[in-house]
Amino acid sequence: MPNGYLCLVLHAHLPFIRHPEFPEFIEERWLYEAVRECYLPLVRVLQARRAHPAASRLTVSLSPTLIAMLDDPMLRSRVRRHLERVVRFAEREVKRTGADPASAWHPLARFYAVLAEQNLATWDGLGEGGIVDALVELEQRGHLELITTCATHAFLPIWKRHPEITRRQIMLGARMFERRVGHPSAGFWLPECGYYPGLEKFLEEWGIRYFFLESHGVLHARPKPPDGVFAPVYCPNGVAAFARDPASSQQVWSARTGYPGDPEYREYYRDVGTELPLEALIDLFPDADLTPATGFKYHRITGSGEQKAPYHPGRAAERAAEHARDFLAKKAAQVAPSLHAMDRPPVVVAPYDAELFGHWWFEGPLFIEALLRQADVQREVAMITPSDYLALHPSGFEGVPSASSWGARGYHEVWLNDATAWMYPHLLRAAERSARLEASASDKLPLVMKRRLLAQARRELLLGQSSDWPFMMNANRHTEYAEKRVRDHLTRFYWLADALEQGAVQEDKLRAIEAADNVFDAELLG
Amino acid sequence: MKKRRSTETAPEAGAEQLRTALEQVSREQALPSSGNELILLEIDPHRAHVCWNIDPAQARGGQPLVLRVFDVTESGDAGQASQAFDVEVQGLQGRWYLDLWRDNRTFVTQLGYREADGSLAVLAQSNEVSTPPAEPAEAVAAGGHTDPNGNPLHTDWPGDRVEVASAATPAATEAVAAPVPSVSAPEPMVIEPPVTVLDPEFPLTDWAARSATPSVASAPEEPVSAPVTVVPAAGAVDAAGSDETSVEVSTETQPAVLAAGDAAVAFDDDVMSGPAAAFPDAEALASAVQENRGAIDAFYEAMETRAEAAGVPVSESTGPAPVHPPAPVQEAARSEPAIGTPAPLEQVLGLSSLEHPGRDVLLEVNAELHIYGRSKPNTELTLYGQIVKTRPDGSFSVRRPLPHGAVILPLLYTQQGNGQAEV
Repeated sequence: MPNGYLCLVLHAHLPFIRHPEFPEFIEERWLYEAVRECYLPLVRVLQARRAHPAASRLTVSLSPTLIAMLDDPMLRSRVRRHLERVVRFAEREVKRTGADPASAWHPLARFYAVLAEQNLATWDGLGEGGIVDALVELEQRGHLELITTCATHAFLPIWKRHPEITRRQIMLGARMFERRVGHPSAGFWLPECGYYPGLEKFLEEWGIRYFFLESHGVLHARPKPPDGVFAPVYCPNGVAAFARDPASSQQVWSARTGYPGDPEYREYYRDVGTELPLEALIDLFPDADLTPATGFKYHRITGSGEQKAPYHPGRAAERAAEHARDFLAKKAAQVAPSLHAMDRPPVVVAPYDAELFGHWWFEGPLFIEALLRQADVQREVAMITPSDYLALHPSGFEGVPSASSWGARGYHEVWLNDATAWMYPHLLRAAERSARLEASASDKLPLVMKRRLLAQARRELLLGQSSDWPFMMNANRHTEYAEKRVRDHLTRFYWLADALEQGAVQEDKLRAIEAADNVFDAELLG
Repeated sequence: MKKRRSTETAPEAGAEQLRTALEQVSREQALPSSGNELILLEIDPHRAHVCWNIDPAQARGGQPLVLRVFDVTESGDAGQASQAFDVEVQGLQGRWYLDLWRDNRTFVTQLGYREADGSLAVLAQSNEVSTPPAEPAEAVAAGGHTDPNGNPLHTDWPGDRVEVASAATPAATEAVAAPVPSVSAPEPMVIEPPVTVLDPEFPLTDWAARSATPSVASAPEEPVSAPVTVVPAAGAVDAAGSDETSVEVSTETQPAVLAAGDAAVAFDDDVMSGPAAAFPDAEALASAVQENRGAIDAFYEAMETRAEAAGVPVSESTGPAPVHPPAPVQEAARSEPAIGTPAPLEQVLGLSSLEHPGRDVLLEVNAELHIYGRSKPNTELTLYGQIVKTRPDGSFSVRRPLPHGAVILPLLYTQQGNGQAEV
């Protein structure tokens, strides 16, 4: 038996951003970047392990909006277009830097060219099932456990007084996951780790056995858990709440001591796009006049000064392996003192946004690969999933966790503040009207039309509830877009509600709304 | 495994028609307003957020609305609550942060008008909220509660000092303001009413007139068709004891540059050195204006540009010609994206734990100014030459770093109508 367990959890989520009404749309770029820099490298890292026994496992939560986008034909064609453009840009860069082949830049350009080709090949090789099918297959081989989250990533504590909203968010997340992945989800990623006592009852309705909390969600549980964050608290209904380990967060993300700040790692802020003339970019990166981000970065962090040395991928990869070894050693040291004080081996839960590995921390996927590989060959800390843990320890300390989130200051203020508060009364009113819609539909409408209107109204309400919009408003980034999204979903909802109740439908507008916001099909919506 | 479903996808060729239809829906469909409404949402162990809307037909002119906060942890409903306190609020529609001070408790609020006997003529009642515990279970002493600094609060909660006369007539604010003096008791807590929540129907000129603090807005008029100058209310910081400084918006004519400089100095003194004993003399004014010259120039440059764009002639007396060119906003955009430019992926993903690696900072202290309010629909606001986004309900909120020295924060208000721009 190992001295302890490590649960590495990657939460993969993007808000539903899909704009067929524009040939190019700037915010869709987040999906392209995440596919290219995070999801495809992660799939490659995990697929490389397919030939080996699945000794070390990780957990990946896939949000329903991300699944919907990765499966959407229009977005898939746009992702591929982006990957092709990156290949073409890499060819240009190889040619441009080739003028001085002895410089440090030319080998780096060739490195990016190989990477770009590799990404395109991986994408094409995955076929129609894409990244989601690849992860499902890896799960079937035992390398990971997939879990779900809310339908549109709603921050549930805000909707505490509206159980029908919470139920629908959880129900759709569970149903979409089961239909797409092929089995019910055992775990649930609460968006933003947002929790309030009693939420576990809704999770239980869908057979969920565990979820994750920020550290103080467990530490402030009533009664006080004796094992702190090293063991889950079992809610009165038996659903287990695993606590995020603060040390694991620090080791990866601390500004002073975190791994991604290592001088050997790739410098995030120096993109070659900022140094090239606009005309060299604009045909391949249509938003380059606003954000000249190509993902081609030729420098390493080097130090705190402005002078940056050339990036060396080989040395960075070695450093990622060293950091994986260090991380694992620290986990072993962390669990050792608690081993004999507890009635079971301690479990360390390390949850992160999946999109940080590869995008922000370029070497992140290599770190994950090295971590899994090194964990395979040692006996002190076993990398398992929460379901593995619960199979070993199906019961334990019973308590009621505390309301909490993993946002700044640990509660709700990232999503509820003076930049965001205006939207909640509107969303609440819309939800209240939605609850009456089915009964108040006009008899003048045929049943098929009623169903279409009702389903689309539900889609609009769900999309407006995403936690991503208030997050963006709070961060003052893409505020205009986030506010427009909430406003658009609300106006579309009311347009649909009026049409349903008045029995008068403008077909062209209905079709446009359905085409734009096509997340979740009618069968799923119920 | 593969049960993948794809919903209908619009052909890209129809993008324009699609866009037109969607824009029509957004343009033509209004968001409905509510009747009387009071929504309470907890933020953290000690604070909640309250939003309210009251039907104007039920308003009592000149009488403030009162928010009555009940601790219903034991009783379960407001009628049986043993403790309550009042907060006056302004405006028939608004929202505000509410300090609840007690963690791990349950609260409910009512909004209405206080009668002479202290009872509340209730217009709206909120939902309940429960604040989470601020500490691990063993750290909470029986019956004890702490403020965010860990100081005991049990005897200092406003509701502790309120005798509730009956379930129907909870006590009034006067009880809050008059705690029993005690040598050993902590300093009485002052309940700060929200002071800048605005009635949406409230004309901007009236808003300025409501200000209790004299400012440049009330300075003697000059024959200037000047654009609006918005100046931090000189006494607001001192009065509120908060960094959330109220600002006035006035459409009154203004003495332009000197007035702005005056206010900047007064403001600066209040913030940096405590309340000014006397208004700064001419030399200090001139010095402050000189110090802030770059900001003034940038402001008037932006003002001219905006006025030209709106077809409004700029009077010579609106300010001196810029001595220096305006700040190079465009040049800075590449290294530090301006508002509205796309952010890197990690800045929009909810990556709460993200920090910048490689920066060795022992202590970094910053301050910021929070400017917020509400404007009429179809208005455009600029602060320091940058567009201030108004929300769908006309409210706006801007945070800006607070630099050292004298500061001018010119806010420009433009209303479009009948092809004319009122500035």
